[in-house]
Amino acid sequence: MATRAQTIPTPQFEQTAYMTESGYVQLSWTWDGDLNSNYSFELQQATSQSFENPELIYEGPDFATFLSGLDNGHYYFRIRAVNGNQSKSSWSSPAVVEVEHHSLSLALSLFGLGALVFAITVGIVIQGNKNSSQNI
Amino acid sequence: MNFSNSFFEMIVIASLILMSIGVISLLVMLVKDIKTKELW
Amino acid sequence: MDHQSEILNPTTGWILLAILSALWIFLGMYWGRKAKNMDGFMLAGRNVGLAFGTATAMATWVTSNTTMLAPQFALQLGIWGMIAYSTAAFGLFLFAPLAKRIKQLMPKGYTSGDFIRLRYGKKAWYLFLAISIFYGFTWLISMGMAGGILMNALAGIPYKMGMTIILLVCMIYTIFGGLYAVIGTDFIQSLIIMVGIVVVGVAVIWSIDLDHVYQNLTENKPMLISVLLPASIMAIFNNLLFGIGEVFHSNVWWSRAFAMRKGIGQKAFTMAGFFWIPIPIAAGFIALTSGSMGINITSPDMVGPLMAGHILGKVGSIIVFIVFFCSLASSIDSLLAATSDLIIEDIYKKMINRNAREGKLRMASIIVISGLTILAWIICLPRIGTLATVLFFAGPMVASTIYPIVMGLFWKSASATGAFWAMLLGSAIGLLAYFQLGWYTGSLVGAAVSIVVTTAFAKWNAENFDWKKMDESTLVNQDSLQENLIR
Repeated sequence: MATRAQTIPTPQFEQTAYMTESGYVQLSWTWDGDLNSNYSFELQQATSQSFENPELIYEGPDFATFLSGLDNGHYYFRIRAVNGNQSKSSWSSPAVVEVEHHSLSLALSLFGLGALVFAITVGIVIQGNKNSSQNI
Repeated sequence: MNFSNSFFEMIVIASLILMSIGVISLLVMLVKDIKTKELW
Repeated sequence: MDHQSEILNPTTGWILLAILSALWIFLGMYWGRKAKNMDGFMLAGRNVGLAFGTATAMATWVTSNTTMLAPQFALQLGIWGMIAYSTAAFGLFLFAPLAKRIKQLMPKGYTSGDFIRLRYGKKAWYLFLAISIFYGFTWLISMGMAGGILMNALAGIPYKMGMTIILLVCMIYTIFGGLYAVIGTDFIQSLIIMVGIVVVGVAVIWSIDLDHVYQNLTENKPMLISVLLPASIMAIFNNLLFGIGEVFHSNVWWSRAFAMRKGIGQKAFTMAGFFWIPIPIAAGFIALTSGSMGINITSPDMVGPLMAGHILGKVGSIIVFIVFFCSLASSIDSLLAATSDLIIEDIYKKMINRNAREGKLRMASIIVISGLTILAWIICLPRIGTLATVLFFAGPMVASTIYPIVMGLFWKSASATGAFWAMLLGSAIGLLAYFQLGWYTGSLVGAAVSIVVTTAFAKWNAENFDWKKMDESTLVNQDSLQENLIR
């Protein structure tokens, strides 16, 4: 295994640290291997840097994946290439995604301001429509 | 706090129903406008 | 490269493209024969009925953004994301009473530029034209690009070919048929769009279990079903106000208000809003199934077509292709027509050649429509993806026009200086917020500044506007009367 592993290049993340305030992120990677071969990638996600209890979140030939709906926290990812005959590259260096959503109070104040502006707008239109239908 | 499963299903199904009503209404209006020669 | 392969083979793509192109050009030219004078060409004879009026308002509001961006919104911002997108229907709902008022005040008007010029004078008019033309043109570019990208992604048709063809087809039938062609094709396009989305949506529900989808979201994308996802909560009213700004100021909508027969506008826009409101949800929820179907999404902007193709196979892909083509065409043609009207009426006729006659105006329209298309084509050619995002800069700018328009239509006291500063400050501060605070604040801040400035001037620097000045047909008669007297 160990010797064969060296024959397949290890994929690498294009960026190894991400920060998102909205809970979505696109992970992409590069790979020097033979694109005509029967290759695929295995992408693992874990909640710790040591990759205890990793979860296989993608298996296939694409060079990117889009994740969304993540809750606050740190997420760790690593990837390796697998050849059809089951030889595997070593794991890439990990990528970390830090999710820290906007503060709810900021979101709610903007929501409130928006609701106010919207309500006034509706009011002006309705009132105007009423007056103009009566007068002219 | 989450949107419930039934809420999710409800808005999806309601939107599909509303769109079907839209299609039918457009056709009805078309026939009406053609009959009364008020298309344009 | 993201490496995601297309879902239709190119031959099928080319055949569909050829059939649809031929159909629109034929219908456009056929209906276009009704356009015998400039009122016919620019405003479809000002006599459009309820069926066509409703369909054209709805179809034009269904852009590639609705069919492509709604699934993207759902995938990024979850259930709130779909609802946030749906709120753009308020642009149509609130424009409905405006359409009635516009027809009442300006029975012989041509453009939204006419309104600003007559209501507020030159200074505000120049600023308004700059905003409006910037917006219209960036919208056109974003759609030309979307056309090329979509056809490439869906069927492997080379980007440049797809982009060129869709712009060219729309240009041809708009030149021949003007607003008659645009509105006629809009009717068929809106039927195709709605039926297509319903078929795909029903088939998706049929073939997968929504409970399962929801379960999967709870486990893997928990924030997408959260009521308190901050990014979505912030997006809602920003998106809503952007939509209102787009509809209220843009000549695309004003020309439709002028084109509809008296008494039709309010009804047509209200119904169009109701028919439009479900579309982002019906088209968007498909994106949420990607997780439970185990399909990898490499880039969020392709999630809609990708999922439809995966779940429904070839038939699904063909429907999606047709729906996209229709939603792009129904907006590109409207933009070409309305932006060229704005340039012809407001710039050519009012600034350059005041006495231009019918033939000359028609010729000028042909030149402007082709010019716009060629310019958009040149900018679309290099496929600079980030360019499409320029459209979002327009958010604060169009939001700042909302109150000069609304108050200008309903309040005698709304003043020219107020309108000018509302648009200038609203745009500037809104753009500042866009870059300093985040994109989701731009339109909101633009609108908030605009409402404060317009109201303040109406209160402390009030005008007492004479509504009769809005009807230029009486003014024009006086002009020609004077001319005759001088001669």
